[in-house]
Amino acid sequence: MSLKTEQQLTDFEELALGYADQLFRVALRLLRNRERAEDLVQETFLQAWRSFHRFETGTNLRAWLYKIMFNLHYTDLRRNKLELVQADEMIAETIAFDPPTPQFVTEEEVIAALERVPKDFQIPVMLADIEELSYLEIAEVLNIPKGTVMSRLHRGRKILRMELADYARSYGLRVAEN
Amino acid sequence: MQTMDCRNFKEVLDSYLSDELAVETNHQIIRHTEHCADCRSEMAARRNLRGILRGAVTTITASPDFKNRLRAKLREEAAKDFQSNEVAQATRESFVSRWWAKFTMPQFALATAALLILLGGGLYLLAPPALAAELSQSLWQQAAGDHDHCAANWLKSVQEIDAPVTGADEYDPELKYLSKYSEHKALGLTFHSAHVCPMDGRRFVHFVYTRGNDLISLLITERDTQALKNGVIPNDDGVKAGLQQQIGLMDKYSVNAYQTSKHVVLLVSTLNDQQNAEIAEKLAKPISQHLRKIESK
Repeated sequence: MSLKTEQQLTDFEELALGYADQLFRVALRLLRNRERAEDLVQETFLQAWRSFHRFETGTNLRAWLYKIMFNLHYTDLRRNKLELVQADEMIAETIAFDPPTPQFVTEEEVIAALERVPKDFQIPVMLADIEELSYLEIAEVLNIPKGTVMSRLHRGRKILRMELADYARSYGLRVAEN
Repeated sequence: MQTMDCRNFKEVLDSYLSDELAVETNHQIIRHTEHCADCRSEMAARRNLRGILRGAVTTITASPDFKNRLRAKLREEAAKDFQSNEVAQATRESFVSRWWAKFTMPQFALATAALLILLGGGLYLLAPPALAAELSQSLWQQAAGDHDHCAANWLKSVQEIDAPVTGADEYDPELKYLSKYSEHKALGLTFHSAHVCPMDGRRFVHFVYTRGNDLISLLITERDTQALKNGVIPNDDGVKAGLQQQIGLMDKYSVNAYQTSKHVVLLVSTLNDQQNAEIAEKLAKPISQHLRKIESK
């Protein structure tokens, strides 16, 4: 069962390698460095290949790959003794107000706003709203309860909208001053 | 049915867009938009925002050069696997049959049962665990990794878990008798699977159990042969070297390990540390005695 065949390699290349771009995007968001993101993605695929015989056909390969990637990433973080910031409490107070979502925003503004969302919230937002994983898949990928996923998404999306609203407001002010 | 106000609407709107709401809530959302222009435009704005966000981020791709390197690296890794397949085929018979023939003999099962009765008498109270420094961080990682990737995925994929699965039949059809070992029942364990797993180049004999909602892996692997070759024959600590250590990779698992002169036995589970240690200890004596018998040959 553990022996790998040429056919498995072909299957793996066909099924898994297509997700390289998606994994890379998320890795880049995690690491903010192309080279390190590439390393993480490569290690993810090698690890996935080693465990591929245990992957159940018909289950979600993409979520499985993400899970491997996040496991590797968090292992690295702990190895390097970088502490993950526990942002929940810090942010909670600041987001009681929920502004209307701006109707007109550019891609640059959205990216800039996303950058300003703390990573603990940004990653779930990215996985849900960009990569379109289900809440349950995100819970499994990040190894956190579904309830935590929901509260982080809730806050993350709110912060994103706040940032955009701030931007729109300051832009409006500039226009008015002119 | 409760009606939805604008505040509630905004709270659940994103989950609606992610298709994560119950059908009734979906209906409430739709009914609300029918008579509330503000919320209708908020919905359009958020949908629009998602589209822009997705458009902006999905333009980022890995470079073609990286993808080529990735494919090459993968093929290189696979070539190694294919090569070692040949070696594995050749040695499989001798390795496994020697190992498991002993482990599955009916006499051994009887001896184990007898031992358990002794253990029940409290003879097996342990000294506080001493650190066995020889166990490397990577071994902990691999054991937890195997539990996580193999046992956890395995359990998820199996709907009916009443019938023991002996995925290792190709290694030794006798493995299924392990499920009948009496100590498992005494500890409330349900046996599910016995097989051989490779994990990062290491070979684990892997037993999967559950107890209630907890998933338990018993892993046996050979000690670092390099150390043995260099003449560093470690002490046969048995279970006295049992130690508990949280693994960085997955904080949610408890792990205990002990070693005989040529093998390391690890117990990984979702139980708390104390329960995990208890099972490790109770299973330790028959298992290490059996391993010693193999090792002395």
